[in-house]
Amino acid sequence: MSHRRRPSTGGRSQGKARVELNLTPMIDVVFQLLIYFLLGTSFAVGEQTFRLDVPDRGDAFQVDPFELDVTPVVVKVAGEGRIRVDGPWNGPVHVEALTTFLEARRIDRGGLLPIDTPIHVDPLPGVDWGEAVEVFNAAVRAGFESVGFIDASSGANR
Amino acid sequence: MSAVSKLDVGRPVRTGANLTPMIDMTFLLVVFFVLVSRITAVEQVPMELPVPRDPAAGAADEAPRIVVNLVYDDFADRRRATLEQRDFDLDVAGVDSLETEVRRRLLETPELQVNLRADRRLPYSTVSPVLEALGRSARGTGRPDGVRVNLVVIDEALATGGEDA
Repeated sequence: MSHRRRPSTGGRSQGKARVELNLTPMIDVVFQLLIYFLLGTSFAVGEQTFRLDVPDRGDAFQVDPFELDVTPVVVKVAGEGRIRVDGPWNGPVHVEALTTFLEARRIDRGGLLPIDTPIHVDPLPGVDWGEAVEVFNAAVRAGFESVGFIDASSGANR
Repeated sequence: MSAVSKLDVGRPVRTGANLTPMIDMTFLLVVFFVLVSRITAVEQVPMELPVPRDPAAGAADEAPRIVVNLVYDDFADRRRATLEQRDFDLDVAGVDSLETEVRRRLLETPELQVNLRADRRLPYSTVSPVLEALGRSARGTGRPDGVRVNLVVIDEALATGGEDA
């Protein structure tokens, strides 16, 4: 910004002070902030994660002989929202009813299953991954701490 | 070219280049290329992630992690896994290579986690061998609990009007 008064020499323009605002730095900073927020907010648009501990169940996998054998609840996923809960109960046949069903069987809700009971999601091979995750999410929402996929991540936790 | 000031008659014209805009533009370009190159190389693979209803998932923590993408294609033999800039076929040999690469990185970084971004259209029979391979990659790395895998999903409530993947 220039704000300087010169002594008058008799000319019209020479007697006026020149006042001007240099907007360039402000515009530069605005563009910097704009780019920062655009990039910073577009990376994680709604992305959330389920945490799994995926064990190695290969040749080196050892079963602890002193560990109590806890019978898991196996939820078979047949596709198009259809499920089947193995066990001595009349389980739901659709994924939308799974959370309510499992919640009612938690030991702290009057059921028989401790919250660390393994819940094993067992999708058929042709079932979409999205649908398998939907069932997985329904079991996690029911409050159980050990939800996993039956052939890869049994014993996984939330 | 006139070299006489109209304001300060008789004085020489002061000439000088204002370098500020050029420096600003340079920094902008540097920031742009650094960020864009990192994003495209590491994480941003276009895909449709699972969108469960009312997800119980949480935000990822700040632990070091690698990102394994499982990319869908209409042709099954073109589906592949990507880890940073490497592509892996989803056949037996490709999954074994992925396992070896993940194990190498687990040995380098003890607290490393794996983010698994799998397209929701993939059949479970494609994702399951990769999950098992990630579990096997813990072998020899001193991890009794196995590998921490973060299944990445989309929370529609958070993705307000955003992209789908």
